[in-house]
Amino acid sequence: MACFWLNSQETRVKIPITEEQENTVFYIIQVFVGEIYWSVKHRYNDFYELNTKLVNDHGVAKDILPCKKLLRSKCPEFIENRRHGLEIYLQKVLKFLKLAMPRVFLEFLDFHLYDVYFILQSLALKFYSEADSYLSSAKTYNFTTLEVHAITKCCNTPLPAENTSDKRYDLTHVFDFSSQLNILYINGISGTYLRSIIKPNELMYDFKVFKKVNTLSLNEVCLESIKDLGQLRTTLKNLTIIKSNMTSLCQILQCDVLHKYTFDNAQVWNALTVMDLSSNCLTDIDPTISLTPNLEVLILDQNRFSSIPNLLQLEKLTRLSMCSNLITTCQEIHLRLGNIQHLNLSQNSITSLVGFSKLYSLVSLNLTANNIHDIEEIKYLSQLPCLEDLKLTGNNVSTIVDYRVKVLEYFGTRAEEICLDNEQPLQPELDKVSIRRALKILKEGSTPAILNTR
Amino acid sequence: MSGGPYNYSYIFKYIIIGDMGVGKSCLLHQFTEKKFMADCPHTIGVEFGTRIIDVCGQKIKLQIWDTAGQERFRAVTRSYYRGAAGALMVYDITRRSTYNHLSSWLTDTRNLTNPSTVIFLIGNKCDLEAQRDVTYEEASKFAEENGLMFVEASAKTGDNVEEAFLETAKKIYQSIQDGRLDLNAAESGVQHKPSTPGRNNLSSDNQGSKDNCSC
Repeated sequence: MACFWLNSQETRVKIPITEEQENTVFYIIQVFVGEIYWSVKHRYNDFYELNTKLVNDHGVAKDILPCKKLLRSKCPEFIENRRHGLEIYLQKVLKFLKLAMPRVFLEFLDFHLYDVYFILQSLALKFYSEADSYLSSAKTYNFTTLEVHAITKCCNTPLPAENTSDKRYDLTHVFDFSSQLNILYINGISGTYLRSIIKPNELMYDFKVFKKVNTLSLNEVCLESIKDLGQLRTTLKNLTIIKSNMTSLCQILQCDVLHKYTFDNAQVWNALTVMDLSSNCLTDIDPTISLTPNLEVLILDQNRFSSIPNLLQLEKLTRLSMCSNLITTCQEIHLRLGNIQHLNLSQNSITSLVGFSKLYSLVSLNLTANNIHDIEEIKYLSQLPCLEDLKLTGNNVSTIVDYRVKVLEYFGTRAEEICLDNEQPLQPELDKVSIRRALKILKEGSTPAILNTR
Repeated sequence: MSGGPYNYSYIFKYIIIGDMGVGKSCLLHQFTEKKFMADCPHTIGVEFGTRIIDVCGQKIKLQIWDTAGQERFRAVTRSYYRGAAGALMVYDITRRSTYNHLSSWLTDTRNLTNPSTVIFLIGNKCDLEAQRDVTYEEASKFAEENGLMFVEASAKTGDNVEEAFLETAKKIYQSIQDGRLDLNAAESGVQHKPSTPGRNNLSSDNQGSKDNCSC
C-alpha cells in the first residue's frame, strides 16, 4: 500500500499514454509512490478545473498549464504535445505542493484511494460526522482489508499527526470510533485494487485498536494476513470467517501458537459461543476445537466434510449446521454430537437415517435435499421424544403417494406435534393417520388397548 | 442523537508520554476500564483510549493517545504530540533513571505542542513505597520549577489516577473559559462535538441532566 509521507522523495507522476473515448481524449496519469503505482484518467477539462482551484487557493503559478485551444484538435501531434505539457505541469505542481498536499490535488490523483494516510483522512471525515450514529445504534461497521491495514500501519509508522489544519480530517476520529466498535466486519478485496498494483488481501492487519469488539466477521480475507487475532480470545463472543480458504481450525484458534496441537489454558477462547466457518475448505474438525469449550452454535455450511465430525468436547453445543457438504453416511451420530438440539444437514447425500435414532435431545432436524428414498427410514426418527420440526423436502421420499400422512404415521400419538416441512399437520391428515394406525393394528391381529379393557 | 454516552460538548486530546515500563498503558487502562492490567505487553507504536468525563457540569470526551516508551518508536510517537490539549508525563518513583529523563521528555513536549498545552507530571507506582527511589519533594520541586501540575499515583491501586486526568481536563477547560485557548486554532487539541459545529457558547446547557454519564 502506498505511503506518501514515507516516500515523498520517491513519488513521481507520468502521463505515458492517452486514450480516446467517445470523442474525448483522456490522459492516463501514472502515480508512483515507492514501489506502488496506480493510474488515473482525466481529460483536459479536469486539469483546467484543478488548475483554477490551485491557482486561486494554493498559490500555483498561473501560466504553467498548457493553454486551452479554441479549436478542438484531434491531430496526434497536438495531443502528443499536450500530453507532454500536462505531464510537465503535474510534475511541477507535485513538486510545489509536496509538503501541503491540498485535498483537491490529492483527490485529483486518487491518493485518497490508495494511500495509508489519505485513506484514513477520508475515514476520519466520515467518522467525524457519522460515528455517533453508528455507535448509538448497532455499533457495527464494515471495513475493507485495505482500511484495517491502514489503521494498523498508522499505529506503527511515523506519519504527520495533522498536516491539515482541518479538524474534520484528524485521524483521532478513526481511532476513537474503532476503539468503541462492538461489531466489526472486515471484507477482503481479492486481486488488485482498482487501478493500482495493491493487493489488499496480502496486507497485514491486527486488532489492537478494536478493544471492544465482541463480534468479528471476516469475509473473503487471507488468513495469513491476520496478526494477533489471539488478543480477542477473552472478549470475542461471535466469530464468522467465510470464504477464506480455511483448511484447518488451528489456523484461527491457534493463529498465534507456534506448535499447533499443544494446548494450554491461555489459548482458550472463553467467551466464544457462536462460530460460523461457512464456505471454507474444511474436511475435518481438528483437536483445537477443545479451545472453544463454550461454543453453543457451530455453522460449517459449504465445506468439504464427508462425515459428521466428533464434537463431544463441545458440551454446550446446541445447534449445528452442515448444509452443503459431502456427507453420505451418518452412523451413531449420538456418539459424536451428544446433546444437540438443532441439526441442519440439508443439501448433502444422506441415504439412511439409522444413525439418528438416539439423538434424544433433537428438536429440529433439517434434511432437505438429501438422498432419502425409503419411507421406512423415518422409523428411526419416530422415537425421538423432543422432535418438533422435521424437513424432508427435496428427497425422493417426499414424492411418494400420501407422503405426509405416511411420515406422520410413524410418530403415532405425537403426530400432531410434528411440524413437517414447515407445515403443522392438518386435521384431515391426522384423521388419516389415526385410521391407518387402526387398520395396521387390525392387520397385525392384536387388539387395541381400549378394546381390551372392556 | 441524545443517546446517553454520546452526549458531550467537547473533545480534549491527551497524550501520555514517559520512559518504557513506567506504567503509561496501565494508567490509561485504569482510567478507562477502572481495572489494573497485570502483565501488560509493551506498547507497539501507539494505543488509544477514550472516556467521557464531567467537568464543571460539562460532558467532555477525552481522546487519549498512549505512546510507546521504547526509543525505537520515538519517531512514531512524536507525530502524536501535535494537537494535544493535555500531556501526561509519567515517571516511575522506583526507578530514578525514568525521573532523570523527564527533562528530555519535557523538551520534546514543549517543542512539539503549543504553549497552552497542559502538562501534568505523574509519579507512578506510589504503592511501592519501600522501593522508592525519587522523593516526593524532589519531584514536586521539579514540577514547580517547570510550571507543571504534579501528583503521585498508582495504576495498580487506582490512587490519584482519576484525579490526574480530571485535573488536567479542568485546567484545559479553565483555559477555554479564560480565552487563553483558542478553540478554532488548529492545534489547540480541543474541539466541539461534531454535531454542534461552531457552537461557542460555553454556558450553553447540556440538554438537561437526564442522561447522566456513568462515570
